[in-house]
Order: sequence, then C-alpha cells, then structure tokens
Amino acid sequence: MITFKNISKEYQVGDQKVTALNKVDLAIEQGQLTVILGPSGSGKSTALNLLGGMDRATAGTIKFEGKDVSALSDRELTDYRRDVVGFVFQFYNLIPNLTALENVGIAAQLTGNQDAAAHYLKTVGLEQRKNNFPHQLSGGEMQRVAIARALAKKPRLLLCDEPTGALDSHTGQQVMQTLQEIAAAGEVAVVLVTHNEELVSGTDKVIRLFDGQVQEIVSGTSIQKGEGATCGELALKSAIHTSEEVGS
Amino acid sequence: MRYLNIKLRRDLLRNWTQFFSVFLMAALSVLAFVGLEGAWRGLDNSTTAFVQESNLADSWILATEFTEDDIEAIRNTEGVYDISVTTRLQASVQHNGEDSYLFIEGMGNEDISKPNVVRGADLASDLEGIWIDEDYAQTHDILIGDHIEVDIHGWISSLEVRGTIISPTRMYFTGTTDFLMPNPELFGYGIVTDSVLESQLAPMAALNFMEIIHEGDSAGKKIDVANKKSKSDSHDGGGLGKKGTKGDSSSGSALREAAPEILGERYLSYFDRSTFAEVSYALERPAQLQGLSLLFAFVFVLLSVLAMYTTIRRLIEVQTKDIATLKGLGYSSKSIGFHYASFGLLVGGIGSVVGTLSAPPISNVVLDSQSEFSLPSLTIAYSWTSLLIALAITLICTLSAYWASGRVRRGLPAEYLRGSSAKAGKILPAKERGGFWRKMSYGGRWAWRDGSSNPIRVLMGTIGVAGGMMLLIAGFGMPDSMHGQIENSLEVEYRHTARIRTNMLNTEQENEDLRNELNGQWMQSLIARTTPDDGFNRVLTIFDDGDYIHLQTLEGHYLQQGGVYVTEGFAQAVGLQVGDRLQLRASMDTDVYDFEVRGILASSTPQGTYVHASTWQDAGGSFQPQEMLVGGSDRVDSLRSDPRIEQVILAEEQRQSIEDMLEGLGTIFNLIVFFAVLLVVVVLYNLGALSFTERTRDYATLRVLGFHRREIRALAMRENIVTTLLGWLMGIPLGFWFLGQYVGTFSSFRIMYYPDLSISSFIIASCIVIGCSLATTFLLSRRIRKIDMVEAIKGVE
Repeated sequence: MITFKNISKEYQVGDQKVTALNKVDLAIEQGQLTVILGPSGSGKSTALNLLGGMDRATAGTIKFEGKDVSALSDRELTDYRRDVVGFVFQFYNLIPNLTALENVGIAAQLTGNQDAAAHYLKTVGLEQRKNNFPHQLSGGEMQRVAIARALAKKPRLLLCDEPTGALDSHTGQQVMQTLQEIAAAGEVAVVLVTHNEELVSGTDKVIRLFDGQVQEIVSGTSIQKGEGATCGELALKSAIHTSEEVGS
Repeated sequence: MRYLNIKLRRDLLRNWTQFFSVFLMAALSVLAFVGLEGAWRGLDNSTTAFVQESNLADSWILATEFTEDDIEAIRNTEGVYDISVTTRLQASVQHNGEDSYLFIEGMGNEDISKPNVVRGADLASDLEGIWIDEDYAQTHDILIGDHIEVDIHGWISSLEVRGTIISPTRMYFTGTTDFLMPNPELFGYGIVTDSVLESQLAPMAALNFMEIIHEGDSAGKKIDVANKKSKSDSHDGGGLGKKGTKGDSSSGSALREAAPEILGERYLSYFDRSTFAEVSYALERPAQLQGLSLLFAFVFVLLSVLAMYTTIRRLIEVQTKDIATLKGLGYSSKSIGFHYASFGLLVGGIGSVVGTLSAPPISNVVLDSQSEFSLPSLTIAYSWTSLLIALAITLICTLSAYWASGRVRRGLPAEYLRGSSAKAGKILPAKERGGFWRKMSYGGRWAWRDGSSNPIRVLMGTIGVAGGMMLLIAGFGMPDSMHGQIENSLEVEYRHTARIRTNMLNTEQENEDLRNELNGQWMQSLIARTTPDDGFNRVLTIFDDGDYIHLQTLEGHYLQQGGVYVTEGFAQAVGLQVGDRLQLRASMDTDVYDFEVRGILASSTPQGTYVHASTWQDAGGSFQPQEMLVGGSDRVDSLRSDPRIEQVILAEEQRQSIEDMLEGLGTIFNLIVFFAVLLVVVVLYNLGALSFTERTRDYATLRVLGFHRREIRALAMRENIVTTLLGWLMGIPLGFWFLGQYVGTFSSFRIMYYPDLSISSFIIASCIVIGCSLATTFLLSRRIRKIDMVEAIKGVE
C-alpha cells in the first residue's frame, strides 16, 4: 500500500547534521495494524511525519499505491493528507470551542459528508456525548473523538502517534481495541507509533527502529512471544553505542 | 529580579513587532496631545503677549459720528478707564494694476491698541504718510518709501509708505464678514496720523470708531471659551434695558447698556474682545485647539491601553507555562506582576519619550496652519502638562500590562502546566442546538464561541475599529462640512455672483437706477440688540424682494413676509422657538421693534435675524439698504469701475477664501486620516495575532487533517471580519458624534458649523477600515504558511 524505499531524512541543527532516518525500507499493508516501535531519537516520529505527508525525505522514495508521494507539491501533499491520511494525536488536539460532534464534523466536511459525523461518533461509542465540549470528556473519550474525527475523513491510512500515551492502561487498552477493530475491517492501514512494548500485542506487524535504521520487522505475535529485542534493550544498546563513540 | 530583567530584554527583542505597536500607540497619544499643545499654547502665549504689549482695548463702539458730548458721556460711564476715538475709512487702492481695499484709520490715542511696527519708521504723530499692514504690503509688493494712491469716495490722495505694521485689533483681519479667511489680495489696513487724516484723506470725516480700556487690570484678559456657554446661559432673558448681559466684566455690561442710550441714532454697534471678530477669532482659537488636543489625546490614550493590554495578553498566552514554571520555582505573584508591568513601563515610557521629542515638528505644522493670524511672533510653547501627560500614558501602559497579567498571577502553577484545553467552552446552550446553529458552519461556530469566551478581545477589537472609523469620519468630515457650508451658502442659500456696496454719496435715484440695471436684490445688514439676549449683539439682515436669497427654515419653507426668521445657533443660544416674540433694537435707531418668530433657519453664518423689508417697514423700521446682491458673471468687470459702487465682493472670492482655509488645515486633516489608518492596522493586527497565537495549535491540527491554507485563512478571518463589522457599525454614530464635537470647537456665536459627510467620504472611510482589516488579515495569513504541523503532534506546549 505504502512503501519506503531507501528513505533518509537529515536535519540541520545548528552546525551539526542530524540523521533521523538512514536508508530505511519498509512497507505498510492495507487491513493491518502496524506498530513502529523504538526509543526516543530512533526516528519513529520522523517516519510518521513522512508517512503522513507532513515532511519530505532528504533521499529515497515513498510510494502510496504506486504513486510517488515524495515528489508531490505542497498543495498535492495537502490533498494527500486530506484524502488519504487520518491522524490521531497523543494529546487528542481537539478544538476546544467545538463540541465532540462538531470536532468530528469539521473533518467529515472535508469529504463532503458532514452528516456522517454522528455515525462515526457512534462507531466509537460516544453518541451520548456528542454535545459535550472536549474539557467535559475524559482522556479516553477525547481520544475516541479524535479517532472518530480521523475516521470521518474515510482515510486509507490511519496514523496514530502514541495514542495511549496520555491515558491510563485500562483506557489505553480500550483505544487499542478500537484501532485493532478498524484495521480488522480491512479497508484501512493503521500505523501506530509508540515506545510502549505493551502495545504490540495483537498487532499485525512491528517495525523496530533504532538510530534511524530499521532494526527488525517482525509480527506482533512473535514480539509477544519474546522474540526480538525489547525497547529497553535497544535503548541500552543505543547508550553503549553513544558512549563508545564518545570514548573513541 | 536579575534574570527576569534578562527575560524582559530578550522578550522585548524577540517580540519587537508586537511591542512596536504599543510603542507606536503610546508615542501617538503623547504626540497628539503634546503636538497640539505646542501649537495652542504657542498661539495663546503669542496672542497674550501681543494683547499685553499693545494694551489692546477691552471694547469698541462704532457710530456714524461721535460728538464731543458723546465722548465725554462715554468717558464718564461707569467702568471706563480710558478711550481712544478716531476715524475709520474705507479706501480703494489700485497698485500695480490690481484693485484692492484699504481700511484706514487715524492713530487716535497711541497708548491704546498700539500696533507693532514690523518694518520702517516707528509710528510718530509728526510723520506724514501711511503705515500699512505687513501681509498686504508683502502680497502687493509694496516697499517702504513707495507711494500708494488711495481713493475715498472719489477723493484721491498719494501717501508714502512709512512702514508696515500688525495691529492688535486686526489679528484676524478678513476685511468684511463675507470672508472667513484673511484675504490680503483684496483687503488691507493702514494707519495715518490724525493730521494726514484731516488734511489729505477726509477733511470732513467724522470720528466713528472708539476704543475703550475698562477700569481694573485688563491686560492679558482672555476669553474663556469653555465658560462662554454658561455665562451666556446666565444672561438669557437679560434683554433690553437690563444690566449684566455681557460676558466678562461689569464695566463692559454697563457700557453695552449705555452706548445706545448716549449715541441714539448715531449708534452702530458695541463689541468686546469676545465679539469683535478681528480679535475674538485669535483669542478663541487656542481654546479651540486645546479642546481638540484633549479630544484626540483621549481617543489615542484609550487605544494605547487596548494595544498594551492585547500585546501583554498575547505574550502571556505564549508564556503561560513559563509563568507557571516561575511560580512553581517560588516566584511570587507580585514579582511576576511587576515583571509584566515593566513591559508597559519600558515600552510605554520609551513611546512617551519619543512622542514628546517628536512633538515640536507636529506643533510647528499645526501652528503653520494657523498662519491666518497676524501676530508679531508665533512660536510653539509647552508647559508641564505635556510632561504630566507623558508620565500618565507611561503609567497607563504599565497598569494595563499589570491588568493583563492578572489571570496568570492569580492562578495556581499546576493549572497552567496542565495546558489550556480546560479553559474553553462551558456547556452547550440549548439555543445552540437549534436550527440556526445547525446551519452555521463549524468555522462560524468556532469563531462565535471563541469570541464569546474572549469578550474583552472582541470588545477591544471593536473599539479599535470604531475608533479608527471615528477618526476617519472626523478627518474626512471636517473638510466635507466646510465644503458643504460653501455649497449651501453660495449655491443654495445665496445664489448671487457678487455682493456690491453702493457709494454712500449716491442719490436715491442713482441707487434705484443701479438696481434696475443690475436687477439686484437689496439687503441691509445692521447690528441689533435682541430680547431675549445672550450677551451678543446679532446681525440683523433686512432683505427686499429678489432672486438671490433662498434661505430655508428647518421645515424647508422659504423666507416670507410677516415675522422674523432666526438662525438655529442664535435660537438655541437664547431659547427661541417658532411663535415666540423677539424684540429688536437695531443700530442707527432708538426704537424697539417686536416680531413673531416665523421660522428657524438652518444657516451657518451670520448667526442672527432675517426680516423682509416690508415687514420691517410695517413695524416702523427704516430700510436704507447699501448692499445689493447681483447675478450674472458677465457684469463683474464693469462693476468695479462703476463710480456708483464702492465695493464688490465676488461669491467666487468668498469660495476661494474658504478653500484657502481648508488648504491650510489640510495637513491636520491628513494627519488625522494617517493616525486613523495606523490605529486600525495596529489594533486589528494585534488582536488578530493574539487570536492566531491562541489558535496556532488548532490550525496546525487542521493542516495535518488536510485543510488547505485558504480554508484555514477563511477560518482565521472570521473573527476579524466580525470585529471589523461591529467596529464599523459602532464607529458610524461615534464618528458623527466626534465630527459634531470637532466642528463644534470651531463654531462661535457668529458661525455655526454643521457636521457633514459626503457619501463618497463615507464610502472611502469604510473602504479604508475594511481594507485595513483585510490587509491585516492578509499579513496574519502569511503566518499560516509558517505553521509547523509537527508542533501539532507534539505534546501540549
């Protein structure tokens, strides 16, 4: 569905050049829940930005259903985000002065079907809360509104950035279940970016990033069985690697 | 506080564009007040100095002739300290092929209203020749030692110009009341020794002009314009035969009562410093400008507060977490409050200093626009008030910054560390679930609720735009009002081409022939004492049948026979209404005539009474007109050479006089428009930026969701558009009120300005306000391009 081919992304920070992604190859499939897992600084947020059309790669090719996303203009990238991508943020990013229903509606209108807002709110089980403002909702409810908002655009690719990061474990599980159901429906590719190992359970694919490179790509089931390195191990590896560089 | 001061410095540097607007408003507030103060105080000091140095008379009496007995009687009137009696004549002059008129008078008592000699010989009773006014000499290129030929009713004399002068009794010399502005091309004045007057100019001329010094220290006596109304009110109903009808001194009142009794039919009029136009205009103007400076300073101070408040609010919105962190570290609310107040202190203070230092050029520009006054010196001057205003504006900026920081000073650190989502929206009101709300777009609902939850921001934006609209209406309305007055006076009320004054030596038959030849309309202007009375003698215009006077009452009726008509300003001053009785005692007449008020006229000038000749004669009055209105442009050239005609005033010359005045004031009007534009841009930009700052994260989220920039721009524009619309609507009545106040500062007992704004000016003012709003939104929309979408997926920052 969407592939990274030899993708690199470099930033200039002051005098230094920082490589966030280094020759990364990966593929996201429709109907799958893919987790991009990695510690801080591994490049997972950069990968998410590139997948979402919010940033451009320094080198390499990103293809969505055969179309080169990395060659799109700003305006075309906006259309890509509008028509293809749905986004769920860690801190929900709901507009405080719009109700739950209106927050979904403002996204639904982009597809020309704002009447569908109520349907999507119902899908996430919040039809009773449609007239509440964000501050009147719990964290989990807000995140479900954010998911409904993302779904209301009928995205092909649903990107979730630490969607449970601000939630307690019970609510986080509920949100994860919702995302699994969405992926299982088969029409949407769900990508979840996190550093939380616990979220890989029940997912279809785990792409483990470390220092801007793909460390391994495994199934969620195999991670659950203890195969592959954990994030903690990767972080430790990163620390050793850094200290070796300083020592040399 | 050291690190807070470092933070202060860096915040100022980083957000300099925001603080520049505050600086600008503070500077403009001070500039408006101090700039105008420099002008009005300079004019005030200059006129006061001239009044004192020249020992300007306190009052004046005009008569057809003063006999020895008259002079003695007036000298013995209660309150009279000294008098000067002389002859005033009007002469025709032809110099370098140009026709003009020179008002010549004898020296009289040299200690009263002593002219200032600008060039040439000092005034001396043993020198022959003439001292002419400086402006007239310069306009006609007359040099010291030149000879000019003066024609007084056909008696021609050649006089050597001994020097040039500025007379304190001619500080605002327009020649005749037909002109609003000095017109040295057409009118000048001169002084000759009494011996020259008697031997060369008019051997048989009577003494007709008296200047009086009242008892007590009269030096420096000025008109208190601010108190004029209350004084006038207190004399309402004083009327004929009662005392205490005049403004500022009891001796003046006694003389105003006594003069007509002493002089009988020889009495023409009595004036004091507040009613003698050539003096009062100069003495009133400082108070008018002072009123204007207070009016403008008030508007700008209000807007400085808005600018400072919104800027600090913006800064605080951005720095909420920093403030919470500082509080968490243990900084007290007080020290945080002082920290933010110091932004106001510093920026407001620098603005005030720059405004004060920039004021002299503005003062000079304004003072230059007052060049119609003839004064020996005219320089700008300031007082401690300017410094106090600068300090007050600094203090106001400081307090408004402190006020803006109130919310965060009071809150607990954790409230602000948690983020801002909890502050917005309450519960969805039932009314917002209805049909209208459903039809409203999401952007509309967002803007509405945003505005509802930030009423102060919306109110300030509205006030800012309303203030801009108000200033624009005033800036465009003032010239419109004056142009409107020209149009109304010279094209609607009076439709003559020229106003002629016949030669006083004409026979009745010659006058009748002249009227028949020119098909003119006779009119006679007298000075009349009225009951009820407001302390001012008024112009009484007696008009005959003819085609040139088309004055209309407030109800739209034309002048008719039977009863008198009074102008609106006069009617308001004495409380007259249609159907009331009005008593008149005119100059050169000892009788009192009683009339019914038939209509109120919406006419600007002169403020007085109109009556048809037949009505006047039926009441027993004498109609002996010397003025005639004539039409037709083809006759103009021949009029001035006709010996039966003493003076010709062309309507076109009157129009030009007003145009000249408007040209002189153009700089001030342009300044007002400039300030207005600046105001709208600064206030709207500030508020727009505040709104933008508060919503940046939301806009970034929308960008991630796939909203195009133009869609976000449309969302961002809504609040500005609503604010602009509300401000524009509010600004219209405010603007007309302000225009009324503005033109009112220039109105006097002689002239009443009516606020007027042409449709085109209104459209231009509206376009400027709306255009500024759109331009501001465009400036803000450039920020939308710079929105960092990655910010949206980060945590709550």
